[in-house]
Amino acid sequence: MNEKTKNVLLGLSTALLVLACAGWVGVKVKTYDWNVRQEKSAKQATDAQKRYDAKYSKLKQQVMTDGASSTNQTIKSVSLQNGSMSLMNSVDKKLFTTLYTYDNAKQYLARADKLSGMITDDVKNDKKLFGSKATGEMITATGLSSNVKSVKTTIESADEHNITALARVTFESGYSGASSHTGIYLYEVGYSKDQHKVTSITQVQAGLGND
Amino acid sequence: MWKEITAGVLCACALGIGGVTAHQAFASNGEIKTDQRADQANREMTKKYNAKYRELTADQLNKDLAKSSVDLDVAKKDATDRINNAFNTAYNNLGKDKYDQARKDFKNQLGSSFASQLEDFVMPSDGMTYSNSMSQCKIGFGKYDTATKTIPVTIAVTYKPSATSTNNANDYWTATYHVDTKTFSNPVHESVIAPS
Repeated sequence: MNEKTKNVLLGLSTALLVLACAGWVGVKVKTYDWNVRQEKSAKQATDAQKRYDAKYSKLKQQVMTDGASSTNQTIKSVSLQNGSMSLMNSVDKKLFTTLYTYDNAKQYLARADKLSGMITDDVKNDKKLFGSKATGEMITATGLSSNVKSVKTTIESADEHNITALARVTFESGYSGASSHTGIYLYEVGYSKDQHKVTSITQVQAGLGND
Repeated sequence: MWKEITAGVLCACALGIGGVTAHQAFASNGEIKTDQRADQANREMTKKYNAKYRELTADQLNKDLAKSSVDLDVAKKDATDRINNAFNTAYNNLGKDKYDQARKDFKNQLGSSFASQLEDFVMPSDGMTYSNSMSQCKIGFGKYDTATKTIPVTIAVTYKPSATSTNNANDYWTATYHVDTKTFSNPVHESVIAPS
């Protein structure tokens, strides 16, 4: 084999190696590129969906609020029902979580003040709901505490001004050192949309439960 | 001599790398095609949501709501009447003599699923009725689903188990009311045990 042939062979094998390396890099780059593109487009799709869902929720809320005074009976009735559900879900949750969550007498007796912005004075002065100094002393003596597990709301009736809701409150309560029990209480809650306040809280059912 | 050896080694390396590359290209081909299909689907989804976003207006939602809904006040009254009719029978001294007719009425009022649960529940046994008299029946409705035309219902019943009972007993029912078919599904009964 003369020197020229050897050089050509060496050149060819070098070129072949470069080509193989370039091919390997090319395959890796192409795979990576499509992977990145796919991830990018997936994020764009998720963002587009989120943007649409956000606009839909906002507009639906607006339609439900405006619809409550609509002249179209279909829109009005659905808006009143679903708008009232949305409102009372939040009102009942705050109301009963505050009413049934306490670890000591101080927390128990502070509940009325905590809720004063969302209840009328008549409700605030209801001793059956908010107790008295004597109840506070009993709580200190027995170590009674309570914790809300769930609040489920449905609507009995609703119009442009007032809502009457049923709230089923499940809570755990017990004396210090004793095992706790689950209580299930059903309340009828009156709410004035004009005053933005709870106007009445009446107990409908009271009992022990397993859930 | 070194040139032949180098050329040979280079050739062997090129063949090795080429082989690996060919194998990877074959394996990556499937991965790339999957990514390409996913990318295409993602782009179409983005396009669809962008178009829906542009077209979505409060007016459009109002029209859709009016088209897909019913007068919910009428539907709720119908559901309330059906529950009151059935529960008045079920919880007011339902004896053996009236039980067979009551079962038919339950089915007419509530549909077979709810009727079946209620009739089993209030079936008189050993000459005793389940409830002597119903003192209160509170009915509440949940969020109306315009897509399925259904609305959750809760029913809270307070009753006297017997004529001589001094304490009331409580029952709590939940179900789903189908506005189109005027029937109930998914009935669930939860008794509320009065504290001792």
